[in-house]
Amino acid sequence: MGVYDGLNRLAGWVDCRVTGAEPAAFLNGCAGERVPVLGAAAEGEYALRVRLRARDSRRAARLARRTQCTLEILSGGGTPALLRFLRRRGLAAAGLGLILLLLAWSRLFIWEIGVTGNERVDTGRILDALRECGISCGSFWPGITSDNLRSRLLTELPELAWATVNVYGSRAEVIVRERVPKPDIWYEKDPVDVVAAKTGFVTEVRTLCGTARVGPGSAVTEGETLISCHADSLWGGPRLVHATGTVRAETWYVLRAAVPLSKGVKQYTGRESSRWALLIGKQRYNFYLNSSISGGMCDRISKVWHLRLGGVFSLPVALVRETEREYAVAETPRDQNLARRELEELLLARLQAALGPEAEIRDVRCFAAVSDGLLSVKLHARCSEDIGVERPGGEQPLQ
Amino acid sequence: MAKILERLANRLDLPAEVVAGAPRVTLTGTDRALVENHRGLLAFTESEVRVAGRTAGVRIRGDGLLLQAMDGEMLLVAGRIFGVDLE
Repeated sequence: MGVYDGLNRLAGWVDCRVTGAEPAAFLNGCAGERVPVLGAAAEGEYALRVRLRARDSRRAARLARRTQCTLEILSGGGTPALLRFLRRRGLAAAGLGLILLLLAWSRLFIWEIGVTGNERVDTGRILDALRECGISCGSFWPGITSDNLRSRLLTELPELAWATVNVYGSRAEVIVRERVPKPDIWYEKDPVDVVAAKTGFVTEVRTLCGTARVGPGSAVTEGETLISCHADSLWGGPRLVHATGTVRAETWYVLRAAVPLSKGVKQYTGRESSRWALLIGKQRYNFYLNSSISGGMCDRISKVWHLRLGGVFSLPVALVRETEREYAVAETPRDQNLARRELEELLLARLQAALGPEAEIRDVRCFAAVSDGLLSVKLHARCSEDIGVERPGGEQPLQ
Repeated sequence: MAKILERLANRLDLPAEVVAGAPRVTLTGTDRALVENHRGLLAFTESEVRVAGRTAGVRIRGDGLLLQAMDGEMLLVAGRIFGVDLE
């Protein structure tokens, strides 16, 4: 809606049908008499639908008679029509005024809270922290200051780095940014050892800095020093360095997984019950006494309809429907071959997740066994990978 | 007389729409035409709007044509405009 359209609506308009041998003459008459035409559309050869300002309707009727046309007013709108309607119905006017007053008053309170931007921190925790800070359904939002809230919220939830609250009508949107964990920062010249992250059999050692403590053919256990930070110097004796290098070793993995040979499948019995409730603010009014399905297992699906007006006003009223669908669990046998393949794929995926990007799987063997209704799969893998990881060193004195 | 004034305006590099009251048509894209200095409508249907001018008539051809606004000086035609002819 443009500015002029809005002004015309405010001033009031009428839609009319002009019928005659030459309806274009009516438009020419309007142009000549300075009656602005707000819009016109042809309805066949002998009729036009014309929109005029409400105050010009009498002049337009005279013009229609002069141009041998008939003018029929179809509808009207805008502020004058609304005022006429309200004058005729005083009670309706009072009601409308009261509703507008209530809507305006309800906009001063928060009835809906949305949280965005959180990935690791649970939304429930953020809502709890907001409640501690004084923001919950029914809070008076003009009393909330974003800076004050931010400092209180960040104190409550140290995992957050930043937070803000935007209030749109009765809806508060809380935007948060989570704190990025600080990485381990080591000074380049600090003494660092390369130690074994896994137990294995060393096949290759490449030392760039430091002294290699193991060589090809050595068996190492987890945590054992592979490249020491103690380095010999030609002139100054031994010194502490940041040990670097790669130590490739053969490693062995044994992974296990099991699955029951029968699985429970949910089968709906057809029994279903629905119940309704009304939420007004924080109060819940149930329209039922005890209509839940007793005995068997059931799914409960809740659907909530919030009362909103045109996306602008959000009211503290919501209608809740809870549907319960009863089901029974039927045990069905599982395909053993398929289950074994699935478990093998699962274990292989687990193995690849445990290995680094440069690791190589040399040999994989899977063994399956059935006992007590369980299918167990064991995976043995032989891999080749870089097992060295950096750890702060230099605890031992220089020799 | 209007034709003579139009020719004179052209010779003297003066705007003909001011001197001779020649109609001026402004097309915006293919869906809006503004006709200034008109002398009234001759015909108005969904597919054709014929406008009288002092020196020439203007015929706007199109589909679903509407008259969005009209007063003594100008009229604004909206809809899918296929062409504008001078008569």
